[in-house]
Amino acid sequence: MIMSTEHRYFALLTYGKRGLLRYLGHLDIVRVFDRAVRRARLPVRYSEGFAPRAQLSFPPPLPVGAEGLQEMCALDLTVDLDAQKLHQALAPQLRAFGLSKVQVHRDMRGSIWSQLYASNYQALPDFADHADASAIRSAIETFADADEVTVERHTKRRIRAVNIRPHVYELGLVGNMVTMRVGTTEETMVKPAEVLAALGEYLGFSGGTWRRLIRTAMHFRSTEIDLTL
Amino acid sequence: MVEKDPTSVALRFVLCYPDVYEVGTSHLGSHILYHTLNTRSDTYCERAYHPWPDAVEALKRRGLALSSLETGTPLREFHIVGVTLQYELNYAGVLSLLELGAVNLRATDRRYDDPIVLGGGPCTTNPEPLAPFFDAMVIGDGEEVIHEIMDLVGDHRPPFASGEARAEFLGELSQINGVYVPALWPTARIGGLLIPQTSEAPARRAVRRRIVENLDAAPYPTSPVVPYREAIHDRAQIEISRGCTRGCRFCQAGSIYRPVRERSVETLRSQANQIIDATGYDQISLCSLSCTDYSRIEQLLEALHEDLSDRRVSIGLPSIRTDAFGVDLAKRVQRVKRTGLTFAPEAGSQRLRDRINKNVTDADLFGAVRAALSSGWDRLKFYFMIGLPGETEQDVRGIADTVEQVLEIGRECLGKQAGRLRLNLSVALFIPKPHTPFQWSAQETLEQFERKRHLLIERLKRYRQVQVRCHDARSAIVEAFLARGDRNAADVVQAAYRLGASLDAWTEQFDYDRWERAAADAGIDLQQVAGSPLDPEQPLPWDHIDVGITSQYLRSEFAKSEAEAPTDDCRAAICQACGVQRMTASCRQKHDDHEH
Repeated sequence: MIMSTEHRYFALLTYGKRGLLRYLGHLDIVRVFDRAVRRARLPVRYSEGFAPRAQLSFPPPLPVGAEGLQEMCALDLTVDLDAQKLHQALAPQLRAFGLSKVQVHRDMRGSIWSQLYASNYQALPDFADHADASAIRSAIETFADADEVTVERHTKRRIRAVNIRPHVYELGLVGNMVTMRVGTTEETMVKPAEVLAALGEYLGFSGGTWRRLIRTAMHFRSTEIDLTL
Repeated sequence: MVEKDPTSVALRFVLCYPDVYEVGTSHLGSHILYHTLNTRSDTYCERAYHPWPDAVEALKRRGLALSSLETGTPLREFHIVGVTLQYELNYAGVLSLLELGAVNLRATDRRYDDPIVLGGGPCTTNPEPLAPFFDAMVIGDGEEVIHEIMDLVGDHRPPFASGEARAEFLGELSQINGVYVPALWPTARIGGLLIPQTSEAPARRAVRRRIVENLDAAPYPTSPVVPYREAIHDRAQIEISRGCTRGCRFCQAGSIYRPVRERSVETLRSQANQIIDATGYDQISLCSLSCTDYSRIEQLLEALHEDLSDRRVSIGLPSIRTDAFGVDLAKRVQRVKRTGLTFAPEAGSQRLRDRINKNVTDADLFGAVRAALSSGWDRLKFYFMIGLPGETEQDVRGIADTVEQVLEIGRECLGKQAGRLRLNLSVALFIPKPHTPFQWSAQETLEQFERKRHLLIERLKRYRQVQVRCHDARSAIVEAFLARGDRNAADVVQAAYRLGASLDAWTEQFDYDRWERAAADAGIDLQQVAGSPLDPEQPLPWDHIDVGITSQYLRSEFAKSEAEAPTDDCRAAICQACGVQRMTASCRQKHDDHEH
C-alpha cells in the first residue's frame, strides 16, 4: 500500500500498439514497460512484496490482436520530473511503441482506468465478408432504435444477461469498418465484440469475431489529461 | 536484435533452434554464438526457431519456407544453416526445421550451391544419429572455432560454384580442430554397430573437443535480445563457470564440459551491470552446472547485491549444493523474494549414491532441509532418479523413506505450521549417455520403470503435502535409443519425422507409436536396444569423438561404481587423470605436478 500522505507524481505516457505489437498480451506489455523503466533508471515507485515491479497503471487491456493508436499508461514517480526530460529518457527505450507524449501530473486521484469513461473503436467484423454496406447500415439502425440490446456475460459461476444499449454512445460505418464509442468504466464497460455480436445477429451471423480491431481514442474525465498530440 | 544490411555482408548465417521460440530464445549458448558471429563485420547472423504445429500448417498452406526473424529470409538462402543440438528429443525437429526451410535433408542430396548445414551443442558428442543430415558438426565450445570456420568460409566465397568446390571446402573444414565432417567418416559394422572409420593418419583418428581455456576472456553477450513474449527462463543470465568435475557417473554434462573454468568476480560484476542496463530485466540468474562450487561465490553474491538491489533486480541461483552452506547462500541471495528451494540427492540410499558418485550424505541433506525450514522456506523440491544401474527396489523405497524423514523434520521445525510444508518430487528416469561411466549400462524396461514408479507413488500418495512428478518412460526409451544410436538410427529419425514427429520434447506432441513404428520398419526393437547393455570390449559409435575423458577412465569409473567406491572431485583433491590433462594447460600442469 502507498501512504496517502506522500506526494504522488504520475507520468502519463501516450504510445501506440500497432503492427506486430498487436499480438502482445497485456502482461507482455506490462513486462516490456517495467524493463524500459529499469533501463531508463527512472525514480519510480515499486510495488511492495516478493516481486517488486514498477507501479504502472493501464486502462482496460486490449484483446490480443487488437491495435491501439493512442494507448496510455500511468507511471508512479517518486519525484517530480520534467515531462520533456522523461520523454527523452523513455522514448529510446520504447522505440517500437512510438512514445508520442509524456505529461506529468501531481496528485491525480485513483488509477488511470478510474479516469476513463469512454473509448472509440474501429472494427472490421468477419460478417463484413457476407453482408454489404447497406445491410450493415440497417443493422446499425436497428441497434440504435432498440431500447434494449442484451448480451450474455459469463462469470465464473453464472451467465448474466446485460443490456449494453445505454452504454453504446455512437455507432456507425466508415467504408467496411464499424465505428463505435462505448462506455469503459467499471459499470458501463461494453466490449466491441459484444456490439459486433449483436449486429451480427441482426444479419444472421453468430459471434462477434473480427479481423481487425483498433482502439482509436480514449476519453478521460479529468480535464488534466490532455490527448492532443 | 542485431540489424545489419544483408547486402553489405559477405556471409549469411542463420542460427536455428529445433524447438519453439519460447524455449530456444532462452538458450545461453545461442546468445553467445549470435553475439560472437555478429561481432564480425563480414557476417550477419540471424535466428530461426521451429514453429508450433498451427504455424507449420499455415506455412505449408501458403507455400512459404521457414525464414529468419531478422530479415525474413528463407533458410535455404543462407550460406550456413547452424543448428544447435541440445536434446535428443529435438532430433526429429531438426529434420522438420530443415525441410520447412526448404533445405534438403541429407548432405548427399544437397546441391553444390545449397547451404552448409552445421551442427553444434552437447549432442554432437555422439553425432551419429544425425550425421547424414549435417555437412559438418562442431564438438565442444563454439566461441573460438566459429571464427576459424567463418574465416575459411570467407576464403571460399560461397555459394560454391561446383560440387568439387563444395567438397574441397568440406575437406579443409575437416582440418579445423573440433570439426567433424561425417561424409569423410564411412562406417563399418563391428559387433553389430556401425563404427565410423577414417583413412586419416593415426594422429587424426579422432575429432577432439574444442575447449575455451580462458573463459574470462571469452566473448559474452551483454546486450542480448530480449523477447517481448514471455519465454522460459525469461531473465538476464551470466555464465559464472563452465564444466563440473564432481563426477556423478550418470551425468553427461559432468563429462563433456571439463575442466571447470570460471569467470572472475570483476568480469561477472561488470557483465551483470551491463546486461541489466541493456535489458532492464528484473532478475539475473547465475548459470553454471553447480553454482555453489564457484570458488568466490560469496564475494560474487555480495558484489551483485550491492549493485543491483536498489534497482529491484533479484538474483537467482538455479542450483544449490545439498547442504547447509547451499541454504545459507540461498538465504543471502533471496533477501526479498522467497521462492522454493531445490535439492538434488538423486538417489534414496547412501549405497546407491556411492554407486553413482553423488557425494551427498543423509546428514548433508537433512542438514540442508533443517536449515531451509528454519529460515522460512516451506516449499522444497527434490530431484531423484530411478532406474540407475545397480538400483534395487530397496533403493526406491529409500526415496520414500527420505521423504518421510523430511516430513518428520518439518514437524520438528515448523510445529503447528507443519501443514504448510510442500514437497515436490521430480523423478527422472535414468538414461545411459555417451562419454559417461554408465554409457555401457542397460536402461530399465518399461515394465521395470512402471513397477518402481508405482512403488514410489503408492508409498507417498497418503501425504497430501507431497507431490510426485515422474518423467514419461516411453520418451526416456526414445531418448536412450537416440543418445546411444549409431548411424542406422538416422533412418529411424527420418522415418519418425515422416510419421509426424517433430516437437517431441513437448509431452502432448510426443507419440511413442511413431518412434516404435519407425524403428520396427528398420528392423529395430526400441525397447530392446535401450534395455541392452553394450559390450565394453567392442568399439562404440562415438569412439571417434574425443571429448577428453578416455575410455579407459570411464571403464575404471564403471568398475568403481560396481565396488560402490567414490571418486574425488579433482578440484578438491589430486588430478584423477580422466584424460582432459591431454587437452588443457591447467589440467596438464596439475597432472604433471602430481606425477612428480
